Amino acid sequence: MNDTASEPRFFIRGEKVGLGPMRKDLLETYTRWVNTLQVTRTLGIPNLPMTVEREQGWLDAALTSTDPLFTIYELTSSRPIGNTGLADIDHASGTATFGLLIGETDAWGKGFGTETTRLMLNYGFDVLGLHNIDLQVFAHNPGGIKAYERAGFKKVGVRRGARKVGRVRYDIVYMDAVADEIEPSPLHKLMQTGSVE
Amino acid sequence: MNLETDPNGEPYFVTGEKVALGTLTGDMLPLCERWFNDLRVSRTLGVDWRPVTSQMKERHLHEMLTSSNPFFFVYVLGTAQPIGITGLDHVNHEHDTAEFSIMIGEPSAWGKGYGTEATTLTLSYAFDVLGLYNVWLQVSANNPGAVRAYKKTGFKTIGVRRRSVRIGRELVDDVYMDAVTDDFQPSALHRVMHPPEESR
Repeated sequence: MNDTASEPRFFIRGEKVGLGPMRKDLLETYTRWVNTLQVTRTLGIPNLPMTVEREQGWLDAALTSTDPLFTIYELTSSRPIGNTGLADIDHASGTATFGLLIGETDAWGKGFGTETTRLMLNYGFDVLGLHNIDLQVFAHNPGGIKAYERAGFKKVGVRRGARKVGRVRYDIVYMDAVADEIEPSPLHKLMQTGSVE
Repeated sequence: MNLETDPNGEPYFVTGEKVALGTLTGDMLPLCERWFNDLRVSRTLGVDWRPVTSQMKERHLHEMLTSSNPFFFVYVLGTAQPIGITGLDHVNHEHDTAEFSIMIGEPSAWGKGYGTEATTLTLSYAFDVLGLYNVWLQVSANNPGAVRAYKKTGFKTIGVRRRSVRIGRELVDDVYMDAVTDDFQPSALHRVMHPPEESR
């Protein structure tokens, strides 16, 4: 397995994007992503300046976390473009919560988020054996909502006016995806037979 | 305001017609331990149903006693019997939101409207005292009595997260509900926070 920066090690590979582990050496890239208001306005984190020191604390926790967290790469260039992951995995109930950030704004609108979302649902259902994955997205992020719907999420409903963005209040949209509605992916075959063919 | 007091002689924090909300006290530990070790009570609480030792409960109670989020004991007026706990978690003043929870730990106190009134009082506290905008909750679909009670107090259903709560052998739906301040007339607590001119 090749681990150089030019050809990252992919844990899961799609058609446009690949998902690899979190990387210590990407600290400054990760920090740059969350220092962009265009990015943080639709994320569930405060719109505050992020120092490398504070980001380091987050990354240290992420690097040793038992949550499956990934770096997203654009396959054509192998450049890192964002992060994704599942949090609050509960195997008794078969549930987890999905999160996604595309930090490179010039990588927006190309279907990378949709494919990443689909790969993470496949990972959650076909690899981890979960059966309900949910997410929260803000009503002022219609592009996100569309991408999640395309990937297989359905709306649970809206929590009215529960998110304030600057001067304006928006709804929080809750969505979930269930294993019964997502066809087994190549990851299913891989897990059951060891074969990817 | 009714100045009736809790068993320690402390005035209640919020008083209704059947129940009152009082500040948490550490001496209720044995009571809390009994409530959380009763499967009839804990089956709908989203806990993991392991036996709860005094030490675990002490830590949990200590967390609530020192939390910056408001939690209350629910007392029955007249007898001053503590029957459960209610409160608001994740109070967020940037977005004016919080999460509501309640447990009535005494099965003998079920079905008397105590939970409904305690919910109303906690919502009044959230809107009229804390100035919150949206209070939400999660309740498992196999607790239809609670869903009905929450609707009665003004919560509306957001939707259902499909088969996402394990209860024994079964996976049941999780119901999300929210209440917003626009739907609620100012309560008696609003007048406590903003007394009319003549009584100032």
